[in-house]
Amino acid sequence: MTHHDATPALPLRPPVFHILLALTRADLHGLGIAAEVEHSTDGTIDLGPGTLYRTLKEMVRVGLIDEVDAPEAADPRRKYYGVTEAGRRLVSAEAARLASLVRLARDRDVLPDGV
Amino acid sequence: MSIWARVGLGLSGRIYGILLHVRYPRDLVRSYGDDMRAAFERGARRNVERDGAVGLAKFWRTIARDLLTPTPGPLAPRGDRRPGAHAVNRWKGKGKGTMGWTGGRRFAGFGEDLSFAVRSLVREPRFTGLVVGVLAVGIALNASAFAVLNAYLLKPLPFPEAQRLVSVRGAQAISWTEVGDVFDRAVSWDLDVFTILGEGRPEMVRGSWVTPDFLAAYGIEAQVGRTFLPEEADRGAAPVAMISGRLWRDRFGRDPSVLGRSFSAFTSDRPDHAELFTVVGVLPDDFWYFNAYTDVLAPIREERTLYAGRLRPDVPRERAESILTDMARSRMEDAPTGFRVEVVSQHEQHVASVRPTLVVLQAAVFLVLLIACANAAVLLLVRSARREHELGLRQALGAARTRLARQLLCEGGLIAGVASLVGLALASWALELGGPNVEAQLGLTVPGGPDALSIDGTVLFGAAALATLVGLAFGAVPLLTVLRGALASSFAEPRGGGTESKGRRRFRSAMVAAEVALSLALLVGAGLMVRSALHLQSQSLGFDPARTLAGSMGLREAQYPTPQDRVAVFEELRERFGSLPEVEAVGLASARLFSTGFATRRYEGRVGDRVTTADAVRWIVDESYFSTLRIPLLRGRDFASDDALDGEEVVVVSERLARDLFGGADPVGASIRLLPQGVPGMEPPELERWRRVVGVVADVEREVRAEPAGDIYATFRQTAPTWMDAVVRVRSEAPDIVGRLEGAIAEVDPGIPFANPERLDVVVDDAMEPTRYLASLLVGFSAFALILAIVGLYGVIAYTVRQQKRDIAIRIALGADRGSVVSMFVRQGLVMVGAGLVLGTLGGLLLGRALGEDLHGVSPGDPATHLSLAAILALSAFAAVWVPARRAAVSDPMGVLREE
Repeated sequence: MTHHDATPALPLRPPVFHILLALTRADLHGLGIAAEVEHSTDGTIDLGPGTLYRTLKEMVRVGLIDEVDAPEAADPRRKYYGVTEAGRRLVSAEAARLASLVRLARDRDVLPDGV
Repeated sequence: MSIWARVGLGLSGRIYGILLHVRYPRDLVRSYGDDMRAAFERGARRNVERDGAVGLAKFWRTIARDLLTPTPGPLAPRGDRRPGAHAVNRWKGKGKGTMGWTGGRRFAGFGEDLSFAVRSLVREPRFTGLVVGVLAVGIALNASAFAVLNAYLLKPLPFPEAQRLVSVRGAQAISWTEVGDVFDRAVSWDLDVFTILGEGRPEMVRGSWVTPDFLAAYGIEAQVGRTFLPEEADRGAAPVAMISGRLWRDRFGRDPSVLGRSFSAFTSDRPDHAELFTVVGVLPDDFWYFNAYTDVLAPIREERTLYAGRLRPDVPRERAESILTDMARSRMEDAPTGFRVEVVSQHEQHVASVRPTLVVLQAAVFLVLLIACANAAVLLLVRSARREHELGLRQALGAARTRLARQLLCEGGLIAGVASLVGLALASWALELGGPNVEAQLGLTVPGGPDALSIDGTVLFGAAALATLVGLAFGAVPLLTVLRGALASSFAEPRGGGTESKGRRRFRSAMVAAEVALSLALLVGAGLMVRSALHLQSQSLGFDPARTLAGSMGLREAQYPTPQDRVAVFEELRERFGSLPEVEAVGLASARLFSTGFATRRYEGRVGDRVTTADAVRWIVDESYFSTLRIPLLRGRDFASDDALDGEEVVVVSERLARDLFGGADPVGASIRLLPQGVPGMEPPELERWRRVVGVVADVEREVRAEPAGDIYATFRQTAPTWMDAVVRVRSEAPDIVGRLEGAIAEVDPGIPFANPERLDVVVDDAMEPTRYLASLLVGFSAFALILAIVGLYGVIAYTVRQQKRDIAIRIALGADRGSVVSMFVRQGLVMVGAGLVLGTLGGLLLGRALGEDLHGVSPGDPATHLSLAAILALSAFAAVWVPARRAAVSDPMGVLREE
């Protein structure tokens, strides 16, 4: 299977979207991604180890993220990940899709107050 | 964090580690397993810190969801691919699912059954904890024992296609060079000690002369350089060697340019001068072989007997055996009837000595599990009686009987599943803590290295099989109650009613009797092993190892060419040792008790006209060896310093050899010689001259499982060996004694090494370790079993008393004697105990028989052991019956009756 065949279509599964979002700020290792996702979603998304690592492996395989060199001070046994160009494009596309949904919701006046 | 939180965290981490291997593909676990465990542990820790036990439970719920999330396929979503969507539907019995779950009506409600089971078990935490705990310990014992058994007996040797590797016994007349039609590669070797010279003291390392094919036969590659070439085994070829990873590190500092460098060493192959060996390769660091003679390997340069090889793929073992037997027979002048060459798997040969021990251990832990199961079944039965009302009510309200049955099975399965996971986690813990000791305690290396002692697929499979059995058995106990359909009526009775079905009472009694029987069998097994260990400790070794130390000294023949030279230098060394103030006595010997493997040879004895043969182990000693080790002289005389080279050749024999060869006749003055070998040309004619017996000494224990054969001693003055052990007894603890002895040697000749110094009392102690180990394990198991049996017995009697308290109260109110009420219950209990004792005695005899070779100095049917342990069990059982039975009689009858 080439990368093209496997490039995911939208909508993205939530773990994929959140992992991509987390990696747009900095290269992180697995545990770091889980912590970042948990932190930025106020604990509503809790990636279990099985979901997290299977998803990471699959994302590396289809080229959304890459294994990158660890920063100087980091534990050398840990694998770090960085988002690829394809991953960046995909996360923007998903964000745009979600934004248009939100716009639609706002037009129909279904958003609760304060959102 | 509390100790319980810490234990909970530790156990959870281990359980998750096991689940990882079960749930996820191997490559994922290989590349991410450590990270996933770390993520789990971090999450678990945070939840525990926040909410304690509740936090841990919540975290497990999250993890369960994570584990049940199906593998994300291609990332493109198709339909609903929310994580968990499938899992949830599958759980509800809807949807297609990906694990072969067909859903449909048959399994509708399975999820409800499961959650119902969870709730009903959580509602009774003490009961659930007890049953799960008892079973988990049973499963942990079985899984750890099975992991050890698996590592030794089931896993193949760490060589490619190891099943084709065989050892050959009895092929003295066949050389390794002539069996190409049987073996892909035939192997022979000659173990040797290489004394490597260089700066500083000479170093003695263990090595072997091997056939050039040796490494290829085992499929081993050099980690640096290459293995041997065929022409390097030619006579006159320049000596080359491969060295171990250890030697490479210690002597050459892991220098990659070691290839082509050389070292000079003495060997017994060319004792007269040191040879210069060129290093051609380094063995792998994890290279393992049956013997430890692998620091230096060099190509063998002579024809040698065939010892082993890799069979050709088209030649089965039996064919190889018959071809080799025919070949050997055709070359022997008069082969004894029944002679045959044996071809045995190398794996089998390596593990033969531990097989009985491991099988006994596995059987013992299996008995413990059976007891645990019987115990848990009794607990469940008592509980199911309590629930009869509930089940009856539900049935009356229209619940299908199959549905009730399924729920009960679910509970059984859940208990078994949780117990297995906890058990496996405990086992992996135990292996991590105790694993490194296992090799020392069994006295045999694990072929696959210490890492092979682990919970792998086979062990998991074994544990899963056990868990399934346990789960089915558990579900089945209450199930029988349901299927018999006795429920509807039971619900009409008042709670805690006075009667219960005869069948169930009988089943419960049978369980308790079985527990008593199995416990007694285990106790007897443990008792026999303890007696055997005590026997080994206390038995007369025939010599006194206290405060003695032995070390080996080797001479270079070039330096000491004549027998007189060698005798003189050993004498001088002995004198120097003796003049050290801390040394009490010194002797010399060619072998070391309890450390060398001893080979026997056949000797011929003549007294008058009578000629007989017997096997014996040959020793070369000096005239102070017997007195140093305090081996008593029984008849005749000891060796003397005037037993010279040119004098009459004399020997001293052990009591046993004297009896084997001369029967009741006086051995002093009789003659002995080595029986000339049947195969011409292969065995050098040595010691084949008649020698006169001058004395008889007491027998000594050579090793724990010594061959039943006597000993024959010759004096070093008439054999002048190049190699002897100094046996030194010191006056009191002398920590620096080895250094002092080495100093004394250096004063005589700095070129003589003092190799492998050991304290004999330590050596003897280590040799007994396997027996002590087995004994202590069995004692632990049987103590656990005894406690379970007593708890079971107590539980049943206490339950019966509670069930019948109304009957009792009525009887007492009507004037029955309290003593007779108590004795009724006691009688009831003792019937179970009696049946158990009878069966247990039979079981104990069987287990004793199975222990066979592990028993020393005690017979499997030893009456003292059997009777005393049966008495102990009977007494504890009596107490377990008496206490609750008495309670029946002291309760206030009117109070009980008013309750109803």
